[in-house]
Amino acid sequence: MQDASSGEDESTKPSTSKLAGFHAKTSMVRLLGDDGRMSAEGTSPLDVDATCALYKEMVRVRALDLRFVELQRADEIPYYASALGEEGATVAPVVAMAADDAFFPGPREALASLARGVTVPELVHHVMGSARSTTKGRVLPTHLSSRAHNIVSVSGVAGAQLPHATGFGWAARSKKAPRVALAVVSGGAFVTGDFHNALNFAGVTKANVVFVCRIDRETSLDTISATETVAEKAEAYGLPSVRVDGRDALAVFREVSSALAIARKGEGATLVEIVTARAMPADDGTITLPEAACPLVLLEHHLTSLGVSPEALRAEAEAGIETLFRTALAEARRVGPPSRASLFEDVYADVPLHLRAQAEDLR
Amino acid sequence: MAQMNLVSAINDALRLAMKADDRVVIMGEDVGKVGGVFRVTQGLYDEFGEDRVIDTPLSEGGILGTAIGMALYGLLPVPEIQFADFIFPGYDQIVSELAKLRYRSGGEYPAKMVIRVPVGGGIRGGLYHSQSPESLFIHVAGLKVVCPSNPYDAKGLLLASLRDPDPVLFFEPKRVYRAAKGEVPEGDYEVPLSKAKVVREASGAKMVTVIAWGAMLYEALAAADEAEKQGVSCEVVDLRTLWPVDIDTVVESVKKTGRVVVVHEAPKTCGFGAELVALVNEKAFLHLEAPPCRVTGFDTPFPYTLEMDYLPLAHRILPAVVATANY
Repeated sequence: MQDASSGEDESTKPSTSKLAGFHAKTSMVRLLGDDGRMSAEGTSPLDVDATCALYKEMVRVRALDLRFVELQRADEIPYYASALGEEGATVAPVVAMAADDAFFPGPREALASLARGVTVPELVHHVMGSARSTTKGRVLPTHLSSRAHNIVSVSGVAGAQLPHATGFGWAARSKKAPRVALAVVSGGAFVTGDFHNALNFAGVTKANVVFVCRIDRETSLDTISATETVAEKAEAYGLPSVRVDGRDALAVFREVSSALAIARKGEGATLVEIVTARAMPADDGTITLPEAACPLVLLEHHLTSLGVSPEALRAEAEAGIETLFRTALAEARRVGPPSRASLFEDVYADVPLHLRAQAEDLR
Repeated sequence: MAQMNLVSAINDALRLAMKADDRVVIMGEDVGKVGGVFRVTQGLYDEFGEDRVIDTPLSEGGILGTAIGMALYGLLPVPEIQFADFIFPGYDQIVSELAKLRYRSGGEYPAKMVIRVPVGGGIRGGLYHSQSPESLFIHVAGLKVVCPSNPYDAKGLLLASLRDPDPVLFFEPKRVYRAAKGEVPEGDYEVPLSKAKVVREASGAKMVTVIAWGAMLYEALAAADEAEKQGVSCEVVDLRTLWPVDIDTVVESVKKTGRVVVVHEAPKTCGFGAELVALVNEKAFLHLEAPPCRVTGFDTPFPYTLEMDYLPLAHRILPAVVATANY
């Protein structure tokens, strides 16, 4: 990662909205200063050990993300959607969730599943589409699913999972269960009909759901939305919202935790907009992310301010990843795709007659 | 046994299922206090409460999208779409999500529901209250499609659909909602999915198999009565489940009669009749004495004032049957 330019703090940027009352929505929550120190009025939502654990998860996600980008560059996999530079935004919400909560991710949250207990080999088999993957080699590398970790199968349709999360949280609320659904979308999925349906139904039903919408700060919303932010859209659905700086993993953790707690009490949904700086790999394979925009760097400054050496933590987090990755990759290559017969399985609970006939045709 | 119509039989099945299984929840536009646009869910709101018979906002994508989430939680939603014509705002949720969840999750996340959908024309409903889009769902891997024609089958097929592990589109022929009457047993029973029924057997020298379902079954039977007077004996097959189709019953009949006419309301091109004819050709070609024939709606939008000309009613089925018999 190279330092290209310093990020400008948008929190002081005046709103251009003509509607009074939306100005608060254009500000961004941030706990850490650029030097990593906790702001005078802020307190950390995590103790030192938990902060170290969060940092290590982010390091692991970054390390694995880079390796999968390499696999795509080598044309070993046809597609990969990284979230480089967005680790604060992808990992902190997952760390904030309870194991029993349901996670409805988009494609770029696949690696955050590490923080839910999915292992490196499991991810490698999934990304490679090996016969040993939970998804049986049927979906693109970032379309994860893992029932054991309450990670609901990812759709290829952007935003399609949002109403699913509402329905799940609605069911939890009606059963008075302290479970929450958390859905994450990135990019422009907030302009879809599914976004509208999900938030409108959540507003009406007070479903136990948290919507997280990541927006890359370099992406201009001008051509897709007449509001300056995503957060302000919540008001029309009768939902609270908050806008958080994705560089600050502690701020993300605090805001998502608080939204989860509200939902868990049966008090309804929250929309959390997280503003991030995604690092897109260049054509030559180099990855440029301004240091000032990097959530890892900011958390490293913070750890240093707490008297913790980030270098030691980083080494600890990265230890073994290369071996795990290479071993799993070799194993996934060896295992290969699933059997041809599996093509006809799980379409229905049982293989119906017409599919049995087609399976015979393939043999 | 009680005398019921389609509406009361479906209502009876829903009540039984809700009593027996607290996972079952009904949801849709006006299904609660009002009892549904056709009153199919009448009384259920009072009996089971607002958490299990849920009035939703007017948005099919929202109804079906949130129903999927409920199913993922472990409930068994029975969303009602007021008219089949309005299912398209939710079509993506059915096609891209509901139908594919089991497959794409490696079998870990099936989403089970039964989507109830009034279907078909003949009620002066015009373009947007009359269509028959069954083939658009049959074409999608992962869905089952059911269409009963009478109260006994409606109750038994709905109970079977609710217990089947896969998502089911349950099309209810609204033209005969109250006109189709019959004896319906009290209590629980199932009519198995993917089992067609021969409702009229053919015999004699000139025989034709007529395949129909839903409201058009009655038109096929009426045409069969008239054909009989002209010396043509019709074997009428009610498919009951459209997909996966009971092709064996169809083929067995065609092998017996050597002739087949398929009747459906949907437009002709790529309608389910096309698939049925292809299957008959593949499986019984050498038994055919005449080209398979389709009597269907036209490849136009569903009309308003001219709907009785559009529908494949008995007076259009009869000449097709006679011509096929005399080919």
